[in-house]
Amino acid sequence: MKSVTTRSSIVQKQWSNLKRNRLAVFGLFIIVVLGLATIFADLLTSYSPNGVDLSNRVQPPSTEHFLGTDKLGRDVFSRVLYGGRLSITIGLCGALGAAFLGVIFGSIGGYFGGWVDRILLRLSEVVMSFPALVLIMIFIAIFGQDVFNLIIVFAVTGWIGEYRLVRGRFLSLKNEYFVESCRAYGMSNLRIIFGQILPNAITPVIVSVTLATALYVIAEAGLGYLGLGVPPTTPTWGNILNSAQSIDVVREYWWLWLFPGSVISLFVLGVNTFGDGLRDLIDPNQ
Amino acid sequence: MEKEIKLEIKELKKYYPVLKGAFKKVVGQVKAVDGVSFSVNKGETFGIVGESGCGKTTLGKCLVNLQNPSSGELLYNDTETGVKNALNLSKKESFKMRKKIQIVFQDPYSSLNPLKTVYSAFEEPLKIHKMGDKSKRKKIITEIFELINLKPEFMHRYPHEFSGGQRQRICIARALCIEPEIIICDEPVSSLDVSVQAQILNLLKDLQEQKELTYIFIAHDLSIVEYMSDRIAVMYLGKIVELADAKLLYKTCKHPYTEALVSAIPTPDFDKEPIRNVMKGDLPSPINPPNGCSFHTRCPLAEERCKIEEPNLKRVKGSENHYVACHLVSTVEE
Repeated sequence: MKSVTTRSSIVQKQWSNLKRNRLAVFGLFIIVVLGLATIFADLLTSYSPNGVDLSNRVQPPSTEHFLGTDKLGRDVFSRVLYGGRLSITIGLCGALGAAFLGVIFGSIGGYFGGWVDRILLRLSEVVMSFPALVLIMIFIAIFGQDVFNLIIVFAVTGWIGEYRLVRGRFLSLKNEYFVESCRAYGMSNLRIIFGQILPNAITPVIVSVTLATALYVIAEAGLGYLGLGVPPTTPTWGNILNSAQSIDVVREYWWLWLFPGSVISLFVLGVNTFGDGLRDLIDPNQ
Repeated sequence: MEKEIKLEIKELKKYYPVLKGAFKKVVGQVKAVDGVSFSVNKGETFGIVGESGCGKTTLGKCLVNLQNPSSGELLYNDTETGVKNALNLSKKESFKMRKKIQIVFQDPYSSLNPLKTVYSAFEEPLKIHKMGDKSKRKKIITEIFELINLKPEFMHRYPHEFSGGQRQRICIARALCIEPEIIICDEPVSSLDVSVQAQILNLLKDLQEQKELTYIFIAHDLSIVEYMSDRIAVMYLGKIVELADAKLLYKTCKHPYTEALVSAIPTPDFDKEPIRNVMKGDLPSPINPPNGCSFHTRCPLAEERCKIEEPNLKRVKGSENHYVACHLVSTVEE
């Protein structure tokens, strides 16, 4: 029982510290509201995101269609909600996948050192030396447009940050006496890495994942706008923006790009402020 | 009383390569431990002293297989299976070996994982060595908490909730919980304040009596080593320069280095003017140890011979358990 109270008291203290940071709370509020709205999209709108209605093409916002309709008469509000569902999923899964790779490589390289570490370090430098967007476009061109492929591509190109964080922590933690005493009584390397050291190294990764989520939501929007993201028939924030490529649309049909664009900006802003608040909380040195 | 040898070390060496350049060329060796031999009897405390950088800690880590010695033998006398060399064992055997020799580190603050409860710090080694089921383990841990005078209800707390002395008691208890026969104490009290030091030392002594433990006690504080040890080895630059019974060493030390160390112990006597035998210069680099006797650069008595010929550890004439590595002391060839 004691241990539970200690843990929860730490969480409580951290929460009250976080609450003092107004900007972070504001960010969390945005994330929660947008997250819930996309999850419960079915309840908020009766239009299907792919319901083509050619008699109602490019209608400006009205009481019937909150945010108007697009060139095929699809409800923009509904598309933003359903699209957000996929965009946020891609961003989050991409960030988690990247963090997973980074954590695995970082802990193994940092703990074992030697040639394993050298190979991983060189590998990370190779990945880093390519511009991320170009790399992503090449991968997409090779493996095809697909939600799953996109997540994999984000993970493969984005693990460097977490890798460096975790590797650095492992380099300093592996010489701590608590690690040596575990080795002295015969604990296996895998259990030491993942059971003993990793919990001490993981907190900065949490911050990194939040910030990377925002980054990948933007990247998805960018790719979608270029028509390189998820197949264009599936609604995502990027694909909605894709229709605003022509100058006519930008000039005449402002609701087609202003609303989805604002929602993306708002979400990214929320995630970034929350991530920064989280970092101040966890690591006041930075 | 017949003395049973528990651990014997023969010509143990640990060299670290010095690497240079992009291709990691080996340009030299750090001779951290350079040919150390001694034996430890069952139930005794074997003290190792020396200034920092002389290889005490590396030696301790070699003994628990945290560092792989470059060469040498480490003969361990197992009560069940007899004498075996602990350095070339199969994986399974060396895992069993880890249960027999445990280590207590100098810094109790970093010796416990800050994110794990003390209970789990005890449970992990028990689990790994398959000692008892869940309720049995809990019983073992409760007993060991009583042994080190901590309330068993504290065992679900986190390390930061304990004081330094309490933590060091926990570290000692953790080393003890898998019932080892030998414990290496690597400066177990040097980071604690003096009042707590005495407490820890007495605990170690009590535990030794109760559990018939064998200690290898590494420290740089001579008075503590004298209090704890039956026999003491003095190390200088990776080598043993003098080895004797504790009482003998302090009264009739032979090696000029030991003399300098012993004269540096503060005495609580105002009338007696202390005779200080202060050493000049620094510890030479272990990458490039001096030729001949490694101490000759700082030795007040050094002769021409000391600069050329390296002295071996030999028995002092007229004394049974006193060994010294110095040309200037009359010794017996064996």
